[in-house]
Amino acid sequence: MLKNYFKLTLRHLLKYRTYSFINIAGLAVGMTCCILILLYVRDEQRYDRFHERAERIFRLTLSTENDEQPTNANTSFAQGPALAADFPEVEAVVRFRKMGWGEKRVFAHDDNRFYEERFFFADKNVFEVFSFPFLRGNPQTALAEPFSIVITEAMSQKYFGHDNPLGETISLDPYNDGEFSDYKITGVLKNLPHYSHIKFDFLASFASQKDLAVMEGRRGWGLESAFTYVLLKPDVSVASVQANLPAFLERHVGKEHWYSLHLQPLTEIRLHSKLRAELEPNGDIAYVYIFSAIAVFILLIACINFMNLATAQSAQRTKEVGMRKVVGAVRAELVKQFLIESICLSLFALIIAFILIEASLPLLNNIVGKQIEIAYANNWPFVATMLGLALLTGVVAGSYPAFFLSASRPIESLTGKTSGGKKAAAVLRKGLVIFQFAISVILVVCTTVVYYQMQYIRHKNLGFERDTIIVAPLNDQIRHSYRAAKQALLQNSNLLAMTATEQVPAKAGNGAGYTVEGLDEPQGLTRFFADQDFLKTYGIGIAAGRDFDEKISTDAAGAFLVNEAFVRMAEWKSPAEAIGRNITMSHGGQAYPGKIVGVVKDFNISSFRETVWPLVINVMPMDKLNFISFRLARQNVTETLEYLSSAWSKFAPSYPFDYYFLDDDFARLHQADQQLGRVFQTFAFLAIGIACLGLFGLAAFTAERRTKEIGVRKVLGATVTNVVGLLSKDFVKLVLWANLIAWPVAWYAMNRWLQDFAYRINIGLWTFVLSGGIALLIALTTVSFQTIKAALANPVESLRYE
Amino acid sequence: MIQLKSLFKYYSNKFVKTYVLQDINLQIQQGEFVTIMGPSGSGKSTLLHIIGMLDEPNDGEYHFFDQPVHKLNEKQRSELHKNYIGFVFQSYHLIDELTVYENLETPLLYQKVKTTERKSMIADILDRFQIVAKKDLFPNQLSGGHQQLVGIARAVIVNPKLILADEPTGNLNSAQGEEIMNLFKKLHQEGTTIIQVTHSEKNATYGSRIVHLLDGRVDRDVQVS
Repeated sequence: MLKNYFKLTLRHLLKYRTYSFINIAGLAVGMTCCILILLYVRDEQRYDRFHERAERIFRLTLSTENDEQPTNANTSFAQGPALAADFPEVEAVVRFRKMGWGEKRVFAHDDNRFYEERFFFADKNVFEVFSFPFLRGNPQTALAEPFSIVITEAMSQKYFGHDNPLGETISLDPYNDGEFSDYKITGVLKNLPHYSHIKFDFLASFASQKDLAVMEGRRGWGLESAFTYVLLKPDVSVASVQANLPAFLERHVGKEHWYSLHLQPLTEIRLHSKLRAELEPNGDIAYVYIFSAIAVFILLIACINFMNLATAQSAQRTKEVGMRKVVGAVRAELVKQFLIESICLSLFALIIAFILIEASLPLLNNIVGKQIEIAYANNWPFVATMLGLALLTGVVAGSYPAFFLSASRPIESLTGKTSGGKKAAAVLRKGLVIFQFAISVILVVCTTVVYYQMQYIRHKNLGFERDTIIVAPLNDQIRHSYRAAKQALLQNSNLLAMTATEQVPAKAGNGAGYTVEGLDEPQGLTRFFADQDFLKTYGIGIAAGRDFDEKISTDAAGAFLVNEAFVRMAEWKSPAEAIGRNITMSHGGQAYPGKIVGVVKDFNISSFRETVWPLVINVMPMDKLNFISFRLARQNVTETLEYLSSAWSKFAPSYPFDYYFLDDDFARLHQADQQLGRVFQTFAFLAIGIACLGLFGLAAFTAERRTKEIGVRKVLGATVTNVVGLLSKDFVKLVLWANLIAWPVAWYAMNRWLQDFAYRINIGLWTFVLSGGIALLIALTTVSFQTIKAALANPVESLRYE
Repeated sequence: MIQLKSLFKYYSNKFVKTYVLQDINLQIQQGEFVTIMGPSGSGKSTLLHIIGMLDEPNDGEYHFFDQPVHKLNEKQRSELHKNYIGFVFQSYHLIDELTVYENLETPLLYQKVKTTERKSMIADILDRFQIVAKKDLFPNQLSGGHQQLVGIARAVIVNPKLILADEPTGNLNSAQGEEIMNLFKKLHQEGTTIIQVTHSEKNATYGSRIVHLLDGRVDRDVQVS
């Protein structure tokens, strides 16, 4: 019996090649999308779960606003050890220290000298808590000694080639102050998987830090670049530890602590955490849901094609059904036959889907910035999931034809009488087509909105010239000879200006406390340390007062600039009101008094999701500054960069020239949104493609079914245009209905998305009209192939057999 | 074997009932070869379909052997139909995607006949109908006569007690038609009950009894000598 079904399926496929192609291609593409998205979702969900004790590891987070929700991913150096000492529930505590924010550090071994970014100091018990797999060395003792360092396989390759690096030394300048020290390599790790939220290439022992005493002492209970992870003992409730944290803080910091502590599960960091100072931009559970929904919808669109074509084809199939009933089939057997047929088809589609997946996986990885691979060998859960998917698809796609067709009464199907069921089938078919196009239109609208928002971000005026600025890390050798270097470098006429700053736009901002004349309370605001050339280099405008001036000696210590947002915050009537007010900054336990000499126009230093916040700029000595920015002329950029590189090596022989374009860094801030845009674009395209495949089939069917009508109409004098119009009208109606459903849904969804941006576009009606128009045009074009063919046919042909 | 008591069949179209069969009373014994005749629209085919359990009467009783068919549910009816009745159609109604062999195999599959037995039964019937050479051809590769031969073979293969034939020679030329009718005659002689619907007087002479229908009623019921 089964053999008989398979044979029949195969012959049926071959006989109706067009329909088979549409069905299989649609299902295969639908499955490809679905599986790719599943892979992406699974990848997001497996973040940090490779650690054996992942379920018991928590990150200590901190809330500066003293409410229940944590605000910062970072803590300081003393909370961790105190926690381990005070709580019997805590098995171990590990601290990571990140050096600088995006400022790279130089690593050197012999002539191999590179800037590296993925570098931490970590407590010696780090490998007891986290399961980073070792290739060489002993995890227990690797970081026990000061000046020992564990590196990854890739770094071992990069610095030592094929040699065993254990026991070798690598030299680095962790504080970027010109002081190099030698670290002994005590372990080599496998390269870290991309699904770890802590990513590093180098892990140095915590005891190597020269400022450890200060950091654990005076600054130990503040907010520093330390990340604390707590391993709880088995069967310990987090809630009970959490409940005792306020008392713990009171014991150590006193009654008036300005923050609260929280424990965050390690496995929730990737998808549920959006704190300040995250180690890397995290994923978002909302995107996981959105993508999953898209996956389901696309597969559904493909299934709908299958159902629609099967019911449309039922004229041919009902005869067979009737025949089988006459020779003795009961309904259950027919249902089985149709389901087997559709499952065969979906298995076939699955095979094709895997070819497509192998071909398109690099593209997906490129879009989402991951290295997802499929491990086929011995991956039974995966194989089972895939077969399950095919089975489910087959059953969903085949269910309607199976139950619909098998229910037909044999005598009606054999004599070709119409029954009420056909009308219901036609209504359902229309409903399904509307559904398909509604989804497609929603995706098109989303694509358009995301695209225009991204365009807007790319071209919005940041308040400074971002496209000609390159940024390089400052180092001690340059610091010492800054004046000479500046004079020498600016000889090149293509180097227009340069400035040294503590931070650069697009990187996280640091804060300081400010007491301002005319404001009652001290303010915690974003600080911006720079030299006198900052505004000139970045091309930032002045709203009132003046820029820093090298000729005015007091500027080096007592001049402050604020931005327009500051003026608005202070509720002063005009920027001019700010000029001349006294201001005192407290930073690192020191007071810096001075006067406001100017107000700068607002400029963005962070993503467009944030409004421009109040900012204070002042000149600080070289040792507080970390970056150097150059403004290049627009022409001869390559030559200028070459020139810079060679000139650089004269002033800083120990530090390679490493730079990036500021524009790229801004783009990176919106990477997740860009990805969303590209995902929408890809899947909107595919959804429309699949829906149109179905429409193509349906149009063919309609044209076929109405051959006689078309013949009669032509005999009565209808022109080709009349007939094409007649046949297209129904489809146009469906697509219009789909638009009606899609617009409000898309509007709501995209409005929600845009709410997250402080700077955003308005969604105009034209977006919807355009998207709907595109869908309609594509649908009409698809249908026209069939309708024109039908309209051009000779009416005599169609009427001869009646 | 078959007993029909005051059988009615009508189609309701909003307020109007169109009667197809009115008060049919008919008894058919096992071993008869009955021909149903009558002008177009007199209800011949409908009657045949009701007897074949492919259609249901609106009113009246239908007894098949001892079973009250009008009281059975669909499953029981199709069980009865499957085991006792073979159907032959004017337009053959073979499954286009299956070969002759597979078409013959289909009813056996539904009766869950074992593989080896199935093979011998098909071999036997192919031999009996002299279509062994055609077994791997598809229906559209056969002449009309041969298609109908396969149609009858498919009806006969399960050894039905009753064969119902709806204008079996309607699409055939006279030589082919004669061949088919001789086949029916032979089957009748071997003991199968046959009911045929036809327009052809000549075909009617092969049977033992002619029932004339007119406007949904039995007009005349005559024995053929």
